[in-house]
Amino acid sequence: MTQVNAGITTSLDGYIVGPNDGPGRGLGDGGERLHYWVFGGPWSYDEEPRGEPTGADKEVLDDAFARVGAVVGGRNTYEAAEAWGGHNPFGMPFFILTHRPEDAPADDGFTFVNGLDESITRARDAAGSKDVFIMGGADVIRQALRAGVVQELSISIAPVVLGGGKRLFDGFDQPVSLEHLRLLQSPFATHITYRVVR
Amino acid sequence: MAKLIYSAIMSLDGYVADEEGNFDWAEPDEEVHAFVNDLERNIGTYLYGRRMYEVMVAWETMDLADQPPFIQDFAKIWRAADKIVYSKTLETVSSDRARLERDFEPEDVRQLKATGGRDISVGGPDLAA
Repeated sequence: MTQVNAGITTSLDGYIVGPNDGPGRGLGDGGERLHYWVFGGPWSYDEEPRGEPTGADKEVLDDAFARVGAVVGGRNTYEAAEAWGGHNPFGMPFFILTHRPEDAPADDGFTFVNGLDESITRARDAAGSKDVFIMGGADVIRQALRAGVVQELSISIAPVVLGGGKRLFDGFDQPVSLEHLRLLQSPFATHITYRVVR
Repeated sequence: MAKLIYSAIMSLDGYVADEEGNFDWAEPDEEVHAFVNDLERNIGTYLYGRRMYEVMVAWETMDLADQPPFIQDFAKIWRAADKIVYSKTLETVSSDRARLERDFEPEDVRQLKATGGRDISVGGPDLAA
């Protein structure tokens, strides 16, 4: 049975990117620290190569990838990541939520769709027996939580107070009840998975 | 050399109280309370703002007779520690081992850290920031 799950990394103060995020600065000023867990330690946009995750971090990523059959992401995230160099990084259907689906590139690695409902419906179809994963940004996750389509919410909290940027729950004004499902801890992140209670 | 520790219970979206100032949703169960007790066992001094003090001072007079051990344990920890309350409006503090300060002086806290044998806890989001 296909589930719809959402997951993202935040700072302790709830920011998913630092100040001044955008093309070339995907995670904003100081935002690289959010993803130390993804690359097994310190990295930066200016330096290659990047490391590999280990331990609990690897477990979280491996588990996520094993369950996912289709990914939904927001247009801003797509632009900030510079379309991952023009190649779908996930190797599975990737739906980009946008108000301007006509901007879709010729490359068929990304599917541009207009509206949350349509993106979820198409991602469910594409995922087959696997799950749909909503990777963010913050606005897409808020829309999905508001619409009540998220069954599991995974938050990886990086040990940093960013003090600025975009907040995951910015302007989110309704309560959501959550239950703890899993907790994993590494030096670079505390990974919490919640079940969204209906 | 003592440590200065800030701890708080918050919601996933970073609130320590709701719009009406309530925090009943954050009431720790036995397991969390036991964790907090161990976290605070070495606290020698609590630094509070007025609001936090007015919440916590209930521990001074709480009737412990019928309370479970983890509640009695915390009351003992709290009553044994010193409290410094920062308030421009409070006239007195009602618990033992507490004193009132009008202004928050970072230098005093540095002194306390440098000379104190036991850790210091700061509570409440305004004072900690």
